Amino acid sequence: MTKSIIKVAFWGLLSIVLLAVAIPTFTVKLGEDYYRIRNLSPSDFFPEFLVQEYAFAPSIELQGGSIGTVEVDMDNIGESDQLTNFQINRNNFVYRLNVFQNFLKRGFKTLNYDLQEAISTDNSEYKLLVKFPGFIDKDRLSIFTTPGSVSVWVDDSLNADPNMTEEEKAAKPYGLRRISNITNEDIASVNVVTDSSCYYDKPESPRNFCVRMTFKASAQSKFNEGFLANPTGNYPAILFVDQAPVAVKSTGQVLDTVNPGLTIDWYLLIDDDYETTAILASVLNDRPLGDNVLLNDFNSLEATAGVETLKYIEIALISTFLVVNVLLLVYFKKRGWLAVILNILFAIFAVAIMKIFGLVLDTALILGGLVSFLAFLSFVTYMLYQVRTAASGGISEDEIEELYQNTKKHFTYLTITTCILAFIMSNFAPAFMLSMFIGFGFGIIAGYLVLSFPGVHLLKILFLKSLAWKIW
Amino acid sequence: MENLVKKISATTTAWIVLVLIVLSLASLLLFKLNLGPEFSSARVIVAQLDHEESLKDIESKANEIIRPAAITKESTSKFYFYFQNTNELEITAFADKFAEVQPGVLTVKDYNFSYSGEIFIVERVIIIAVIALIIHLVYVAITFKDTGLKRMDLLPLLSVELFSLGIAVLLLFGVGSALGELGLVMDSIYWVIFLIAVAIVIIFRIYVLLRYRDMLKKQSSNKFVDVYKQMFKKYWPEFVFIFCLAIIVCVLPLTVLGTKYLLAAILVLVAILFSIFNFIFLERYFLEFLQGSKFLSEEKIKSKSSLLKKW
Repeated sequence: MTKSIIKVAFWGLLSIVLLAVAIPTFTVKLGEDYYRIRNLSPSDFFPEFLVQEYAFAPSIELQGGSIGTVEVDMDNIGESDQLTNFQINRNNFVYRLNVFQNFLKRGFKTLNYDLQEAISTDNSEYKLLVKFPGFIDKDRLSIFTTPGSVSVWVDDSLNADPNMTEEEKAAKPYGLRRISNITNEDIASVNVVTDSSCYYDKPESPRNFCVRMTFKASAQSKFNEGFLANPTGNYPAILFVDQAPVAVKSTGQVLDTVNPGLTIDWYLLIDDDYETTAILASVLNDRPLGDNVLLNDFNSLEATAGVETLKYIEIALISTFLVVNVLLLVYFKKRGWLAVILNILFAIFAVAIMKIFGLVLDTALILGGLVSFLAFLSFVTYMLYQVRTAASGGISEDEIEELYQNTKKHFTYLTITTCILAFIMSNFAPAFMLSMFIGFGFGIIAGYLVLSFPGVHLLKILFLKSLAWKIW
Repeated sequence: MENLVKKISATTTAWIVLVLIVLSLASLLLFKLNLGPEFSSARVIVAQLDHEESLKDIESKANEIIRPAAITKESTSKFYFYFQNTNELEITAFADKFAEVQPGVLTVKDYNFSYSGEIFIVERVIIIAVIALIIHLVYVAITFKDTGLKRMDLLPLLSVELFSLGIAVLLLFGVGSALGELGLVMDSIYWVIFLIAVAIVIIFRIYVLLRYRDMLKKQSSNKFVDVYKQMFKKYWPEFVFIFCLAIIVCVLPLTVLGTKYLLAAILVLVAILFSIFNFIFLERYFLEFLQGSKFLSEEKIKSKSSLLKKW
């Protein structure tokens, strides 16, 4: 029993920590001062940690976001080619967004977007409506709509006129460099890397984030001719995107055993942060967009489910939770407290885990979580009924343990089933279905944790210890 | 409760099920699915105003002309009206009429509209449904492990699962398409509510299975129906309690999602009602039918001795 109390104390402490993670941000007024209460985040302890805060990611449905109208201008395209041109540009644009989405996933961030097409063939209007939850910087979005044509200026100092004066050399815009014949078509893949060899002229100060470009095997001769033909080291290659210089070739050595002699790192001339680097990398990852693709409108977007819906949902969830627990107390009387405590733990664990994983807070997630709550409640009720029946003639610790293990065993089966289904869902499910199942799955896992660890100790204390204390 | 069961005979139950199946199929064939603009192509009218308006006000004005499938608001004064199954004349009429009833309309343009991204949705959902069903049946089989049943005894129990879930899903589709005819647009939230309704049926099934299992372990009778009757007699108050919990947990929060989703909450109620009907009548009579049928008799499957081994 003492062991149980110690374990309950441990789980109690953990529950308090998770509660601190789960609580929503709110403001209280004490006297004349306002205090902002927010949840516990990694940045409170580790300011440099990759994940800065534990929070739900916003959804367009409940929190609104931003909408960009990308227009594909068809003025110079023949009528018969307009749809094809639109489709090619749309596919390239979607590919860029998807690549960026994957980069963000690696950085433990999420980007959900909706893409819609609005076409009026009569007026030759072809638009892409791209919607992002929450706020997105307009300048960053506009980078996605730049054509992204790559050109590379490489060292040509060995072929320079030996009679050229220093003034003449200085007058040349990019020094003793010439444009190479490398194009977007030669690029196999572009990645964001953190590598100590990615520096320009000072090995002691590399960039945090660089772009690693791997070329196709078919571009080997262009690569050799561009980067290896004149390796004086005085004029490192410069990467241009749409005629604007964005990076110089890193002077550090790149070790690529998979594609030897086809990979280089670019030392970027833009902000040294993951997201900006990822945007550039995603623009470089595919064929260029046509120069008729323009971001011509950018606005805020109201929550599609209604501005106040999230607030109403919060009130409804709290009311539901209260009503359910009151019902349990009325029906099971004092024994109902076990269910109430387990339900509270379930709510804390589920919300905290969802926040830690930064899930997108949309209606599907909430409703999926509710279904998992119903499943958890069913098992808790099942356990309570068993205990009530067994306890009518007195109950021993072993009997309690057996009843508990019986319930837990079946909940474990449910958890395993859910995990297997999660694997299937992650491969096949459409977005809304996946979101609902994520809510359900996380809820089931929270339920499993509650039932597996604090549950048994609570059960023993609440039933056995309380019998000795003559509480019931 | 036993008296209530006696009031409706097996034949009446069979007729009720038959009528439900026919009605559901008829509803599906007649009304089809009123899929939202997220799942099928649509027309969108974009109206730009010269002043700020609330989405609610614009929605009520639009609904007076022709009810759009959805309306969204961009910035403070730009509105998108999504229409489905609407012809060119109606679109033009809406655009003209809206410009009349709404002051300060700067431009009204219409476009063909479609979502990009998600493809092969139906095929993917079918794959998930089939695999989920198989996983559920495996779960059922594992639940009955070590209860003294023979392998062949699993067949009627698995048949009951298939039968119950099949009818439930068909019924939900039928009710859904009828609601679609009443104007409910089947967007992603609708389908989430649909899945919740299916999940409720499954959760009840799991509870019934757990109690049925407990009763099987206590009973010496090898007749499924007898065990089921005993289980029903002893545990029906538990099921009433669970049904109450389900209504509170799954219906109450839906009431705040707006009127259109309140209509979708009917699906959840249908799922709960079906689960009650299934628990009280359908499952019992179906087990009775299976027990009486020659299909699953021991003589019939004597040759397949592996089925007679203990599960």
